[in-house]
Amino acid sequence: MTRKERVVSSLDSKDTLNRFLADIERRAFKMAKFASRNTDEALDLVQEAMSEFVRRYSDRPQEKWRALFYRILHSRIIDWHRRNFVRRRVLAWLGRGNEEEDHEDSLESLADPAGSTPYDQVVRQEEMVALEKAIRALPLRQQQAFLLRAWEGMDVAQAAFAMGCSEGSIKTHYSRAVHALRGVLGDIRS
Amino acid sequence: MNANDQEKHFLGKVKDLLDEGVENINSQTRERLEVVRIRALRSAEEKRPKS
Repeated sequence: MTRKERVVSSLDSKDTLNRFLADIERRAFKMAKFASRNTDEALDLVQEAMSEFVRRYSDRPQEKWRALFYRILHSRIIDWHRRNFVRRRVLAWLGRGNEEEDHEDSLESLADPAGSTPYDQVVRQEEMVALEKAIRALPLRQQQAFLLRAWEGMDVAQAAFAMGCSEGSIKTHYSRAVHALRGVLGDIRS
Repeated sequence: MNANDQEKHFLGKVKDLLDEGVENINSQTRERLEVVRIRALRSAEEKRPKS
């Protein structure tokens, strides 16, 4: 390969990588935010996962990128929870348990008003707030299994790879999450 | 609707709401995410051994 071909190939792969990360960054951010309940922490988690992914795995086949990225993100989220366990307990003991959590801005999740009535918008917003609250309340592994399966569209094997656990565990976590969410959101509008 | 269809319908609705939540991430957070992505790409580039 000539020098020019190497430069062109490098630029192509950088562009492909950039597009892949741009495609998943918002969902990854939401996933990290569901787990951390904090915007800054979620952005840090996404950046750490992206850096590690680019550094260590970007030369792997593209069809494996998504599962690899989410495996790193999941691992970072679990590490973050472990590191923060003691700190959260101390803060809770001091009566400041929720200080590091963002206060949700209801306007952030307001639906696009185009083509819907004010009543529809209000109902939609209430549903979204209820759904996000219910997902945040799930145990971490149920939350992750549910988001990977139901939102990212991963099959059981891919989700098991991303979470580093057995397929049986994924089925159990996912099933419990769906059951819990349907219990809370049973009256979600059809 | 049977139980399977009800679950599919419920999950479809949940996915729509989650997608909508992503579409409505505010512009400040979108910009910060873009910075995060550029930083990740650059930091990885800097650490990669030069050939």
